Amino acid sequence: MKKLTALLTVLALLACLLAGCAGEAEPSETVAASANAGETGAVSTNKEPIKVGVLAPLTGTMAEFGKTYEVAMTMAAEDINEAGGINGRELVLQFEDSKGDQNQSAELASKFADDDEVVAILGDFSSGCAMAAAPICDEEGIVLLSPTASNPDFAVMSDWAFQIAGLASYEGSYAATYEVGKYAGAKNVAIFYMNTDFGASIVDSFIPAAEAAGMNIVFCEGYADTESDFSALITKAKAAEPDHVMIVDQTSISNVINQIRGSGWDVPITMLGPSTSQQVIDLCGENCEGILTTVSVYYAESDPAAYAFAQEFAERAGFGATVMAGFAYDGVIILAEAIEACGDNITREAIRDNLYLTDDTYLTGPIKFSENGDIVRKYLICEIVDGEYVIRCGYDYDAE
Amino acid sequence: MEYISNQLINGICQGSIYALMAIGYSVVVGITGMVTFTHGEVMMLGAFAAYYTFLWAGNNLLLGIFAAFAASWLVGMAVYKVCYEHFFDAPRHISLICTVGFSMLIKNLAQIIFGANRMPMLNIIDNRVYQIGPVSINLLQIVILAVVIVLATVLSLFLNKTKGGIVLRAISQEKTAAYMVGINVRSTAMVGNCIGCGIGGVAGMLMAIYYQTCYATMGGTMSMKAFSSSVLGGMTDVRLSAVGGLCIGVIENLGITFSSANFRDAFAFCFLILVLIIRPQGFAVKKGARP
Repeated sequence: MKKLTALLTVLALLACLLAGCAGEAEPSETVAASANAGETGAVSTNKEPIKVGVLAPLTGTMAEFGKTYEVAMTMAAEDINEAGGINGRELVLQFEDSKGDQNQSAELASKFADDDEVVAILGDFSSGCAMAAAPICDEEGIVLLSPTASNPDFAVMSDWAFQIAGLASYEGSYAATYEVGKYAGAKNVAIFYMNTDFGASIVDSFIPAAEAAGMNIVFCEGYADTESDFSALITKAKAAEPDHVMIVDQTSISNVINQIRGSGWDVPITMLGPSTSQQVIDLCGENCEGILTTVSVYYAESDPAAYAFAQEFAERAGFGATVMAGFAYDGVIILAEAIEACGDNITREAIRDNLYLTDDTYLTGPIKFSENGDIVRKYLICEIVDGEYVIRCGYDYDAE
Repeated sequence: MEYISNQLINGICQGSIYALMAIGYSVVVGITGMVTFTHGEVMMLGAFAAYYTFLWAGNNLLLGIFAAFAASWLVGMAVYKVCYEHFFDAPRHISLICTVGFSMLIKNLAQIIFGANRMPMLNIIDNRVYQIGPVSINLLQIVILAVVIVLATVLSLFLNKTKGGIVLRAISQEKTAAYMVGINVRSTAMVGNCIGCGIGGVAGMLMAIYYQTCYATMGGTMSMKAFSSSVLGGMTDVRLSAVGGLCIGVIENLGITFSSANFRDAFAFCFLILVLIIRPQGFAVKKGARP
C-alpha cells in the first residue's frame, strides 16, 4: 500500500514536471526547426549559430503575452535566417519561461548571463520582471532589450538595459492632454488602474498632465493584477460622478469594461496602447463600442508590410496582433542588426555599443535610442466603431 | 444610503459565488475527509465545458449547467482515483500534495489544450438593470443568486432527507462504522466527491458568465476564497460554508468601499483570522463537526 502511495505521488509530480517542461521546450524546438529550414538559404552554414536568450511569461496569468512573444519573435528569427542569417550564421532564440514572476526572471537572466554562448537577452514582457533582471544584466555585462517594458525607470537602471515600447510617462501625459482632454473634452475623470509598475507609472504621469490641462481627477483607484471583480470599485467611482473613465490595464481590461457597461453605466471610456487588441473587441462585444484608445502602431491595410505581419501573426497565434507583437518582432530585428554590425568579433559589449547606434524605421516606426536606452514614440488616437478600430487623430495631433 | 446598499448587493452577489464554490468544497472535504487543492481547476474545467456547450448549442443556461456539472463530475472521478482512493489509510498530507500536483497538471494541460488567451462568454444572460427602490441590480446578479439558492437548497434536502444523503453523511462522520453497517465506503465516497466537484463546476460556469470570460488560470485565487469560506463555515457544513462565503464577499466589498481595492484580500483574510481566533471551529456549532 505504502509503495503504491509513493509511486502514485511520484508519478503525479513527474507528470506535472513534464507538462511544465513541454510548455517550455516547445518554442525553442520550433525556432530551431525553422532556423534549420532557413539554413539552406544561408551563405555559409559551417559557422556556429548565434544564441539569444528570451525571457517570456510562457505560462501563468500573462501567458497570452508570452505567446505573443513566442510567435512574433519566431517570425522575426525566421525572416532573418531565411535572408541568410546574421553574417551567414543562423540566429537561434532560446525561450525560457519566467512565468511573469520577478524572481524567476532574475534567476533566468543570471542563467543566460552565465552561458557564454548567449550573446544578449530579449525581454522580459512586463516592466516589473524586466526591472528585476536589469541589475543582474548590468553586473554581468549583457544586453537586456525589453521590447514591451514601458516603465520610464527601466532603461535608466543600466547602460545595458534598452526599451523600445515608448515610455509610459510620455504615453500617460499624451493620453491626459490630447486623448481625454483635447479630443474627448472631459472635465471630471475617474481612473481605474492595475497596480503594477506599468499602471503606476502611467498614473504618475497622467494625473499631473490632466490637472495641468484643467481636469479634475475625481476618483483614482488601483487594484491587484489578479483582480476579477470590479463591482465595488465601479459603484464607488459612480458615486464620484465623473464624466469620463480612464482604464489603465493589460490583462483585465475586458472585465472592467464589461462590468462598467453591465452595471448600466454608459460613461465614455478611454484605454491605452497595451490594451488595444482584437481580443478586447472579442471579449467585450457591443460593450466596447465608442471606446477611445492610444496606439503607437496600427496595422492598417494601407501599410502592406505591417498588414501582412498582422495577418500572419493572427494565423499563427490564433488571436490578433497587438502593438506588443510588433514590438517583439522589432526587438529581434534591431538586436540582430546590432549583432551583425559586430562583424566576426561578436562581444556582448560591442552589441551594446551598436544598439545605441540604431537609427532606422522599422515595422513599428522609427527607432533611435536616447542616451538612456529608451525611445519616445508618437501616438494615434483610435475609436472602436462597429467592432473595429478607426483612426480619429493622426500622429501629429499634438502639433495641431 | 443608496451607495452603501449598492455595495451590499455587490458584496452579496460576489459572496454567493464564493458560497457556491465553498459548498462544493465542503462536500468534497466532508465526505472524503481530505483537503483538496484541485477545486479551482475543477471549476475552470466546468466553465470551459459550459463555454463549448454555449458555442455549439446556443445560450441555454440549463444545458450549460448540465454540461458543467457532468464535466466536473468526470474530473471528480479522476481526482478521486488518482488522489484519494489509495490514500484513505495514509497520512493526510500525501493526498493533499497529490491534489496540489494534480491541479498543476490540469492547469498546464488546459493552457496547452484551450490556449493561453481568454475566451469571451458574452450575453449568455441578457444585460438588464432593474431599479428597486434605492438599489440597482442586474439580471445576471439575480440569476446567480437564484441558482446558488436553488442548488444549496436541493443539496441540503438531498443530504438530510434522502437515503443517499444519509449514507454520504454517515461516511463523512465515521468511515469504519459506515463500513460495518454495510455501506460501500469507496464507491459512495467517490460519488460524494463527484457531487462536490459537480457543484464546483457549476460555480465555475457562473463565475465565467458573471465576469464574461473564461481562461485556464481563472481557478487560482478564487479557490483560495472557497477554501477560506469553507474554513469559516467549519469545513464540512454545507449551509455554514455558504454563510462563510457570503460573509467574505460582503466584508471584501465593504472594505473596498471604505478604503482601497488593493486591500481586498487583506480584508478577507484578516476577517478569517479574527473569526478563527475567537471561534477556532468557525461558524460550526458542534466541535465534532470539524474533520
